[in-house]
Amino acid sequence: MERRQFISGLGYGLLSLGLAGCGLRFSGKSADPEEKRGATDNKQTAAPAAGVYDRGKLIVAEGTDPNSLIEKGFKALGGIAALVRSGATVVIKPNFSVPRKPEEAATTNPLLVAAVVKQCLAAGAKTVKVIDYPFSSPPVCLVNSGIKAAVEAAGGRAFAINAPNFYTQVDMGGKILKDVLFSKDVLEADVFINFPILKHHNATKLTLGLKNMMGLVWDRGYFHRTDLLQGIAELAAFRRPHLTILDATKGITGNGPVGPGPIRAWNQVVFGVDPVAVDAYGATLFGLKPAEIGYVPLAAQLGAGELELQKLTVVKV
Amino acid sequence: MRSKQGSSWRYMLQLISVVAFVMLLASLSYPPGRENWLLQWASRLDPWLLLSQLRWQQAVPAWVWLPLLTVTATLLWGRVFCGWLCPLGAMLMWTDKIGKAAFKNMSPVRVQILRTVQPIRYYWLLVLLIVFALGSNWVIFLTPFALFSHELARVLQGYMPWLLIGIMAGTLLFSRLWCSVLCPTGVLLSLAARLRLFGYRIAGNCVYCEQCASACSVGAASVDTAVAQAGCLACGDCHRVCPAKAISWQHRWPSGKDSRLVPADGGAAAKRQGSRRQFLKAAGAVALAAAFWEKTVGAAEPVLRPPGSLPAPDFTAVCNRCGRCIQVCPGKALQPMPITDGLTNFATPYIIPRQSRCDLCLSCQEVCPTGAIVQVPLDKVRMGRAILDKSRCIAWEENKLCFICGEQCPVLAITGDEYHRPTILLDKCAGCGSCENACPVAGEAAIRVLPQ
Ligand code: SF4
Repeated sequence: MERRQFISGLGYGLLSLGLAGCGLRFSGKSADPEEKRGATDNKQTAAPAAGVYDRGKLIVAEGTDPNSLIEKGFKALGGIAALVRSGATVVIKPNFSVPRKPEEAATTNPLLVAAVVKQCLAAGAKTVKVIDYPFSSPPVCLVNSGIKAAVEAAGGRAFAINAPNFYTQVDMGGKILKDVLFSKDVLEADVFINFPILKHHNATKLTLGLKNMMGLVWDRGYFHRTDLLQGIAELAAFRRPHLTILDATKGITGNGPVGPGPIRAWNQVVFGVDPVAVDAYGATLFGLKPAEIGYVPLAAQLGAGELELQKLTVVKV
Repeated sequence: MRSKQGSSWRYMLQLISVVAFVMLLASLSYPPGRENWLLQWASRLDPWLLLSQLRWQQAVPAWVWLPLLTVTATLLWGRVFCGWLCPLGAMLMWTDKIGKAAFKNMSPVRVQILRTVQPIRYYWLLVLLIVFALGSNWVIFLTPFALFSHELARVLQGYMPWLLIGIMAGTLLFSRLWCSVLCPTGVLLSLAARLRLFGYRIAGNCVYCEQCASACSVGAASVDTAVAQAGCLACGDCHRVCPAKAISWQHRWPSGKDSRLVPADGGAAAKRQGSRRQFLKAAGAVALAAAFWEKTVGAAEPVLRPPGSLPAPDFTAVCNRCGRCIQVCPGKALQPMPITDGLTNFATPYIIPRQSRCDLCLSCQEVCPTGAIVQVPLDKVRMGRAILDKSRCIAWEENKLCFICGEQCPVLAITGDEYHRPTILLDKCAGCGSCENACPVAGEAAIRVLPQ
């Protein structure tokens, strides 16, 4: 018995050493020279990407073919090259939080994600990481959602950030969000694309871009314990993605977020720099007013974006 | 099987068997694929698994031909399964070779011990059969595929395979005592091998050097009777070491003509005494079996079992502790129960939902070779049932918009009212533990999943 404990103790010891190693790797002070060079290069070439596209514009691509939806969208935005510079590290955060199949419309369409991965790599990205922190175990979600297969076929890396070593403590300076463990991958990315699916959510009515960001936080229980809506809004104010792409091709309109539920197709993909505006538009697809999605007006109040759709230009392509 | 070539074929097969088994088990992961099929096929070669299936499921499985293949092979050539195919047997064969080289001078003692202990074999089989019939699983746990699987799974999970180490240490000193006396499959096949058609025997110019006896790793080479005994693994070591080339592979029936050295009959009195002793031994075996059974069947605290598990006492009786479900479980929800939970439960899979939830992927059903986890469809899975302690629930007590249990329940068994206060729909609850796992209340969850 003691020996067994000893062995497992040894295992934990090694594990924590490993974690410490990862910590070093992720903190940017990497021992790996190649990685280091890459990182510094990026800082010079792929300068702050935020705001490269027009903030006041929403691009709505309509259709059913994943590749052309993504192509059209980026073209209307002004081309992906403006966002993704050569050598950049891109992090994409789709929603694969539940073990559902693509046809069950509860996770971001894997073909859309793969299309974005392809575009990023074609634009010269060094790596494209596709991450989420799913409810169920990573293998089940990554496999069932089709994300792993599609992303890897496109040349990206898909993985779940379901261990503490993927997070680092940041001071969010919010009313309820103060010291929060937030995704290192996102913090260190040159380009961060939030890629939610539009679907029903039984506690917050809808899950959209702002809600999708919760998958980048280690302790989600804290949000539920304190104030879910305020937490989501403060998170939105802390870190805005460079781009939000909303998969509104189809989604469940009931039994969300897990499903299965009734499915509705909109055959749209929405691109926007302003995360609040994208969510506000998503709400209207559901026949709801943006102000009805509790966290959306809260986020707008905190200055995370624009709630009034009439102040934006919606470009359909 | 006579030539050198025969033995290199055997080494090759054994090597493949061990390497394949280790690799297949290590690659067993979600979603289970071809590796699982191969493991299932291998396990089902063991006739004990068929016995277990007949005992608990009372139906002849479609794979019945696999164990029958083993039995047929045994009836023809003796324990070729043990000597040529069994991965644990292969491990022990190498261990024994090392042992023999390292402790050369122990050879006579080794032969002596093997010979002395061997008669216990069928009494042990009796113990096993009684324990098995009464409803305990220890028998199946000790069969090679289960045992080796269990120990490998332990290694893969970062634990020490103490049992395997123990058996290998024993083999270093006493040769393949495990294979010849203790292994349930080995003893069962020894019984069948008594009827075998072919075998090694001494034909002619034996010089009584007894080299065959000390080479034999299971104490089956017998100079007295000139015929290899039932325990023979058909490895051919005796044939190879015989300086007089007196041992050969032959038809065993009709016997008569070559068994020239059958020991003289000791008379009727000795026979009667012998049968009384036999009776006493058998009675002892029954008593031992009963004691074992007491120890291993006692009721245990109910726990959450994998989705589709047989109901309580049957589950521990059928599960052979191979650990494949634990190995394949993508969320690491299944854990082996520690020995401190009693022999009945030891190493059977269970779930502690506060630590890890079951994803209801049902891979464990696919990999379970014994039928302890039945292939039950998702909507029929009832591992446990959730109960809500409203006084601890922050939605009910503090009006929080929490509802994380309802948000994450994979089978939609939790509904919320207008204030998002959860209520459990028991008829839908699969008992996977997602709610208990996700509940953000500090310490014990406000919603808990109790075993059925
Ligand atoms: S339940 Fe099945 S797979 Fe799991 S340890 Fe028992 S026999 Fe092996």
